[in-house]
Amino acid sequence: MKLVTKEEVYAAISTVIDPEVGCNLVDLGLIYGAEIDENNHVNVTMTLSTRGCPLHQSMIDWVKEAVEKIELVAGCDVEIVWEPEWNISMAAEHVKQSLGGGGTGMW
Amino acid sequence: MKISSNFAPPLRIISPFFIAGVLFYILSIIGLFTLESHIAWLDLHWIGFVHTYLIGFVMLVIVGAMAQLIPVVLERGHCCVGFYPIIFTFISLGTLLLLMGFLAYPLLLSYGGLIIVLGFAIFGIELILTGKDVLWRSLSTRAVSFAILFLILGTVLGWVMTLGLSGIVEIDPSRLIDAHATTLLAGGVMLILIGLAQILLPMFGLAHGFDTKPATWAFGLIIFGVMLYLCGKIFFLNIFQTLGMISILLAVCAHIVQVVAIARKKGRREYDIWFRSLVVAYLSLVLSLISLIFALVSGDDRAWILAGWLFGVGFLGFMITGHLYKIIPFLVWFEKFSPLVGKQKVPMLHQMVPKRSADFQWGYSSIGVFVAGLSLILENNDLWHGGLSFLLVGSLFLIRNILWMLRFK
Repeated sequence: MKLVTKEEVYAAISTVIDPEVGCNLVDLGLIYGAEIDENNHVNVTMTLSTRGCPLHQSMIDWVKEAVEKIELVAGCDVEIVWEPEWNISMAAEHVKQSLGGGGTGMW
Repeated sequence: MKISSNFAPPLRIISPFFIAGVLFYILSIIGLFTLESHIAWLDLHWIGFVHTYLIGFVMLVIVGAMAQLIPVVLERGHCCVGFYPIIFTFISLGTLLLLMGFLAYPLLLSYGGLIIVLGFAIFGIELILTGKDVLWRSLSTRAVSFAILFLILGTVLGWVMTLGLSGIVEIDPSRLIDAHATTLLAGGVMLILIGLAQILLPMFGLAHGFDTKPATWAFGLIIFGVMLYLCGKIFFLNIFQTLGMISILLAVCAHIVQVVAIARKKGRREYDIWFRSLVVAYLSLVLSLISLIFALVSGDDRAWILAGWLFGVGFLGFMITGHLYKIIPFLVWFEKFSPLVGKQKVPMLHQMVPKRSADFQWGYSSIGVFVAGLSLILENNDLWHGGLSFLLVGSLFLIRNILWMLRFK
């Protein structure tokens, strides 16, 4: 059986946009990993930009739906983890630039 | 942790808090036009419009925002979300009765006060029932829990004062006014903001890895300060009142240090309407603190009034309006667009803010706060009415912007 690749999974998740930040979850650095077993079941490990994120459950649902749209994927589970804690340095360079120049600071 | 979409209260329950809140804001500014820049502390018209602003605008919007934030902070759904329309009715009706009581019919004061006490009590009961076993878990939830106790205590004190003003009981209301104001503004409103700032500022600013000790200090100092102040009032110990006030001032300083610590670690460096509103809010808070310290040292009435003005209209006003530009688009987006994710193109939250109109609101309101504040020092009526005119135009932009965001399609 042909196995789904990590690249396909990441490409699918990159269609999910954080509506507050306006960037996709992969470029934001929120996806920590994706494991695909021999039955093409995908386990995504991700975090959120804040613990109090009101879109917590929605994000999980959107990632799951996006991954399950990939042909051959048998199913998808999404686990939210808080270690390591996300910070802006984990985002792609273009995301940092779009949020005001990269790095952290008051102004 | 699971925040189900079922946990978010429907927009139709929350939006009246915001719309009515801003209408009370406009009403209170229109009311202030009838007064002069030389404000007497115990002028009942002045007190009436202050209550319209603080309860009708500040508290109504905070309670509405809390309806959305409580499930997020406690990580569970509301126990009785149906209580919120009752809370809305009680606080709105109570505010109107208080205003009418202060302006013309003193007998209405006690009814208005009682209804507001009941409104806050129902809010507190709903919070306890929702998060009974997790309220102690974080600094934010502890702060909000204590703040609601102080809100209820402060409004009960206010209600006792209204009984005196209505002539129902023999009591001199002016003896309780400082305890009433300290309990509500420091113990209630400021403590809620200390708690919520720990969640909202890092969330919207994408800040991580900042020191949280200043917030812990602010939390402890403000509770200690308010309780010490009240003990001093009960046992006629001036030294307790002075130490209590110092403790409250130190708590506000600790909160400012915390906000700076969060700001230095924020990953988002856009100068959007939320950020610029916070800049005006905290600039007002710092100026208010300076004015308050001057008032305590000099005893100058104008400095007291200016400190109150900058705290109420500058700090609280901009904290609230700035966050409305974040909270309302989210609520509308969640209700109207989140079901469409993955099926069709949906707007981003920043596209749901009328940027140009929000800039006008920010600009007019900022000028209004500082011009009217200056007029209070100079006791210049022309400047006072000029400042209020700017504030009024800003508030009209605000209601326009809120309706625009709520109707976004």
